Amino acid sequence: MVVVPLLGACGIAALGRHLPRKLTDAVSIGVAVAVTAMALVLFYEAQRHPVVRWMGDWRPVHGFALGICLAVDPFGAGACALAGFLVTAALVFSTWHFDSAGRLFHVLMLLFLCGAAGFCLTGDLFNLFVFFELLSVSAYGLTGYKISERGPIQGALTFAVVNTVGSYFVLLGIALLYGQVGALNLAQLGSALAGKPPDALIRSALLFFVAGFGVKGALVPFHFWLADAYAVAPVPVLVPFSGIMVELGLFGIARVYWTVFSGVSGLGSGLSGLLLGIGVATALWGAVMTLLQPNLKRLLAFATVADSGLTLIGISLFTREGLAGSGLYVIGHGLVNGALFMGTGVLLDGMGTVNVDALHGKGKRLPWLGAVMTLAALALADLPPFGPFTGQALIDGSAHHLGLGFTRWIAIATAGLTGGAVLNAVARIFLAWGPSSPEPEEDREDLGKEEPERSEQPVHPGMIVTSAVLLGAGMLVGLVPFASDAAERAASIFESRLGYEGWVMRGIFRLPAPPHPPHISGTELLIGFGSVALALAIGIIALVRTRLPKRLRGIFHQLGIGPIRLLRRLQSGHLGDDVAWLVVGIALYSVLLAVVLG
Amino acid sequence: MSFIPYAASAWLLLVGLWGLVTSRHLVHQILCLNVVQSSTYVLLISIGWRANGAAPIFLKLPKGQVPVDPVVQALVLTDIVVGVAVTALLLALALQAYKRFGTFDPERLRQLRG
Repeated sequence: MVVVPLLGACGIAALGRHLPRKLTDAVSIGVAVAVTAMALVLFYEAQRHPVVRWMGDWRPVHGFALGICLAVDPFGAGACALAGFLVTAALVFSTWHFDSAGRLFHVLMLLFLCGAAGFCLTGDLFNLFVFFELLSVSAYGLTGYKISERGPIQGALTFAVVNTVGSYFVLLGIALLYGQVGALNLAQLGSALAGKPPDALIRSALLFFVAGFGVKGALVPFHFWLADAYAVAPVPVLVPFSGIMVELGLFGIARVYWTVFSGVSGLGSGLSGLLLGIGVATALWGAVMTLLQPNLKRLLAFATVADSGLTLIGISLFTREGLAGSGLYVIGHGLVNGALFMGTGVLLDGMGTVNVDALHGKGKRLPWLGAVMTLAALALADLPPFGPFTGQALIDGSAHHLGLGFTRWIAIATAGLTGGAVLNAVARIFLAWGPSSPEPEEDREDLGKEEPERSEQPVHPGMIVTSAVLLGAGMLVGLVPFASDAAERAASIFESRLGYEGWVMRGIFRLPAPPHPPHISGTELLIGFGSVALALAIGIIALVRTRLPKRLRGIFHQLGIGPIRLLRRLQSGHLGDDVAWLVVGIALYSVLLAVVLG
Repeated sequence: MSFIPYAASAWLLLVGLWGLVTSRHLVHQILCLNVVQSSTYVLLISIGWRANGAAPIFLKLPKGQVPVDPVVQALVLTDIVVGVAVTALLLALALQAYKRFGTFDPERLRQLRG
């Protein structure tokens, strides 16, 4: 699964000049489909017995791992399958959308897939880092693909520099752990650290991992690069970016915590609190920023940040249901976001801009697309009983059992705000509701003008169909009856450090206790409908904003303009600012970690 | 155990980050990133050091000599390769910026904000 996309990428790079474009498209799509299929097969196999492969047959000796292994558990295989599916969808979409997708686009996408696959499946810490870098560097290349414009250069540079600094913090963490333990195998590290108190070195290593992976995972305050990168990357690329790349950052945190750090005594509850706080801050910041964006791609970028925050909340609960919920949430939201990005791509194609103000009313000739995007916005707002809702319900149930009921309000607010922002945009574009020109007191720069990725042609229906397929998949994930069961079983295998060590080092695997059937109570349904209602309310308020009585508008303006200006100014697009926030974030989290660990 | 290599690593990290934060030139930013990367190399190699250690060439090792840890050296080599890939990509972007827009100043390229 790692070798196949690598071979595909190299093949295309070598021969692509001589092959017609249709053939390179077919080869890359074929490779991506093959990876997805293999990952699904592995998922089913891994549920019965996780798969371990030692490279070069260097098996562990006396509990000491001499070689590098691939340790496939169902969670990793599932993440790999999602990556494959999203890359396939992006490649299919790009056959219609992208005029000039030369062979380098396919090469980079396949390398991205290779990196994602390796990242999900490896059992060695340094191997994890290397695949993380492969994934990242391909992403930098893909972001800066439209090199002829000013924006992509800025966006790709910021993305690359900030994320590389983050990755090298991960490497610092690896160095610290290696210095302490002398091993790089995840299972072995876990058993070496088990039972130890969290001393300064362990804390620093953990902090570096959280920060480094958190940069990729767009956690506050490491998230400033995301909006700039998303605004300039070509649309097909954004589908896997938003669906799997950001989530792999969180996956990295979860994987490293559960396999390496979960045995350290006294670490869990403190870290849980810290991650919960970071998740809440990220979710709310992202949600609020979605309302301030006139550019559709940036809007969806901040929606991704908000989703990332909610996913981290689920992970931070450190329970089986929480992790299972996060997994389902990631799948649901990844697919729905992908569908929305594809819709944006269609609009860019047809009208040459993604600025909501400029697109006002122009969507009327694409009613099907309007329907898809409206449904997607509602799914984003956690409409029951579809995909994102199922994940959120599991997370909420678990949080409630832990007495952390306040997270449901965060979830309602976030889902409502992001769903509302998208509904507002959709209504203005497709139904011509709402103000047709930007208001004079808001300085909304025209950030939406970008060159369409193909010459003016009528919109190919295939693009809308692909978008609808993604949306359907995202929504149906919640309806598939055994999805919650499978997710819970996968989560229980993921979370058991002793179990992991058992099946990686010694090949012993005991099936975990079967999960109790998921029980989605009436409260969770209410929450789901609540966030949809909030989304509709926000959408309507945003639309009729200009018709409100002047005094009311004046009050809102006075209350809101200060924080809004502050948030806008923080998102400066300056590389120096983003790096400064990274450093501040690490310092802040080290202080907070010291506080919660006592 | 001398702390100087670790202090050097920390210094490189801080200096590199400071350079990134205050930089006004794309190529300078890329080189500051390289300095940050170098801090991790120094840290890794220092971790592998053994007092009176010999080079880890196992065919010719004198009896009783302890070799320094070769694993970290392999890690550093891998990281250097990763660093090279990133630097090459970034320099290509910087070069394109200069060719198309005539500037290496990130301020003049800044189009995205808010």
